[in-house]
Amino acid sequence: MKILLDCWDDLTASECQYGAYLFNGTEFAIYVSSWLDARPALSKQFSKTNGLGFVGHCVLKFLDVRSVQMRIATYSIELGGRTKWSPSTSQELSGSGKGGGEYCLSGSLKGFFSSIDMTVNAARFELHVLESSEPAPD
Amino acid sequence: MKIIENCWDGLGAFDCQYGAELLFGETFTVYVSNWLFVPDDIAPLFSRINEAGCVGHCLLKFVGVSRVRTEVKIYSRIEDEVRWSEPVTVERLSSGKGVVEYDFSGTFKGFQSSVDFLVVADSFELHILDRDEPANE
Repeated sequence: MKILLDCWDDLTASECQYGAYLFNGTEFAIYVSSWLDARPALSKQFSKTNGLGFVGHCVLKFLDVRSVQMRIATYSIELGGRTKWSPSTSQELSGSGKGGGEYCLSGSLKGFFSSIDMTVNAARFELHVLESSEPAPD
Repeated sequence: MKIIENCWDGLGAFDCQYGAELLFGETFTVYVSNWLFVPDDIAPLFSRINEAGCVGHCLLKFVGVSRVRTEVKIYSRIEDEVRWSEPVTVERLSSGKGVVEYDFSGTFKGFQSSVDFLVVADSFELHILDRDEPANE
């Protein structure tokens, strides 16, 4: 695992596929399987790059978190290919950290016909780039 | 997507790699990327089978949910020693009338972690996803 500090400005997390998240009251960490946009110098560090140059298999970790707001909507595809959205649901996680920076992320939850938007209010960001079979093989 | 109802008793969901989870109204759904044990007649329906014969890329969906409890621990390895964090337990209640207890466990994919789920619900559905469903990587 490589840990890169304060590289948020080199990333665009607007259409990522997300997995599980962990929150312990001060740290919020969320897994990204793919579709993260990283600057070329940074994207070489990743174990997974798709045909369009998006990267994955990493954890976005936020420290000293004051709050996390999430809005999630799911959809189904009806006969004829039309998309039908469910009403979205919102959730706020309240942390004891001091916050300060506002980090906006969006995309979908892997495996779900879904859309997710998150705003994390935290003091610091770390990118944890995972090796291909880290921490465990598929 | 293929949906198989009421097949819980044939599954071994104690060592899975889990992804995102959603509690929407009375429905709880969690993604499994791999390490689910299934009976031989169901295994060929999956788009992902590993060398150990375990399968993945599916959703475990519970309907009529009254309660979801998750307990998560993470660990770090310092030299040869594994150190576990204090568990974080989250308890959620919902308006479903379910009374059947579903226990399952494993890890959260991407995290050095251990997770135990307890879902109290009415019924269970297994949703098997095709390889690029709902979106490619």
